[in-house]
Amino acid sequence: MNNDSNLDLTTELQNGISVDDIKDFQVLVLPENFNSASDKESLIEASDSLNMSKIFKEEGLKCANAYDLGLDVPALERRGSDIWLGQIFIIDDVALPLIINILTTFIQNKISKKSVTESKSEPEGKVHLELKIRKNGTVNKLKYNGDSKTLVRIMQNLKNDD
Amino acid sequence: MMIEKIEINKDDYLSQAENYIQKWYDHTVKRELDKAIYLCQSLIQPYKQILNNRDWPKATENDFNNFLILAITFKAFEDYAELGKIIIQDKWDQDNSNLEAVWLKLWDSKDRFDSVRGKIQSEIVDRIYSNLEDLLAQYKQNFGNGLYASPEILIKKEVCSICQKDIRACTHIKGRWYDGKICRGIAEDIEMKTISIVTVPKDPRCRIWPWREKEERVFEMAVLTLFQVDNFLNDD
Repeated sequence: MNNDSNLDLTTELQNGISVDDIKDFQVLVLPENFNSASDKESLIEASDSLNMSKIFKEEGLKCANAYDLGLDVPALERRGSDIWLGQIFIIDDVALPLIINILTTFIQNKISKKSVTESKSEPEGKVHLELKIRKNGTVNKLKYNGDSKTLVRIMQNLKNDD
Repeated sequence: MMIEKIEINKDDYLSQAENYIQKWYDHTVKRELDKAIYLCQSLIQPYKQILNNRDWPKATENDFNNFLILAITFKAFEDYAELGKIIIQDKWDQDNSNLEAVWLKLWDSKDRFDSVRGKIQSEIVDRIYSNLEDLLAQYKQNFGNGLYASPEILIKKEVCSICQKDIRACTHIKGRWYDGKICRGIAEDIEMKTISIVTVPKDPRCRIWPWREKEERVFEMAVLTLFQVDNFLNDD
């Protein structure tokens, strides 16, 4: 990769991760405080990140999580019923539609499992996600903490805008 | 009443289970709840042996998953029958310990059914599930949605229950079923960070009940339970 054309990536990558480390991947599933942690020791993996990254791989995507990138990050298990996905960084925008589909299915499956046990009047758990999409040399960011239906709509729009 | 010894018909264990589901249901309709409970225990025992001993060479991954489905289903039926023993009592809901006991059994049964629904087709399961939802609605009507304790735990080391490797390094997905086993992360090094009060809990068993106030604004509550849909398979 040419350094000049990767300025956007260099700005986003921290904690000792270089552009060279991620050159073979289409999507990264990173700790939730990847860009805000003061040092590597303060990084925290969101509770649903690991399953998400494994499902991306299972679906044939070239995906790396913090562990694959050599980071030893503890996971924060929250007992509330929210979905915590950490940071998902889509590097290869060609894979965007597939990634959005997998992400949508993952969220819907988790929510539908819960809705079986929750009445419609009961508040639904939130989804927490920072989504970054690299496209045409720039990185667009979406930080979302809210209901699943709105997020799914936003993501479908992102896919359709592609 | 003794637990009956039931031989599992390995050639047609699904039909055999269907018959026992009907038998269990007949017991509950007749309010023979102890018989319903013993029937469940009599079936769970051989299913557990098959799942733990793996001494059936011809069994496929699908067979083992089916035995896990059946074991969890009959455990959910047992939870339901135990809950039934309380709620058939006159004025059961005027006793706080009954209300708490039923709440726990209700969620044990519901969580177990949730884990197998979609994997098992049974009108009886659907009917019982609907009864559990009605009971839950009654709780909501009487006590609202509730507040729950919810701890945050930092997991520094966790191994996969299927392959025993670092969970980050294997391909198994937490919550998925593999060969009659549910993949889980076994935490080996943890740190309790905080305990929050939430309205949408992961574990409704950690509910804060108003009658548990020990002194002004000090409540006694569970902050963490070790419930798992298949934990009865590890019991001796």
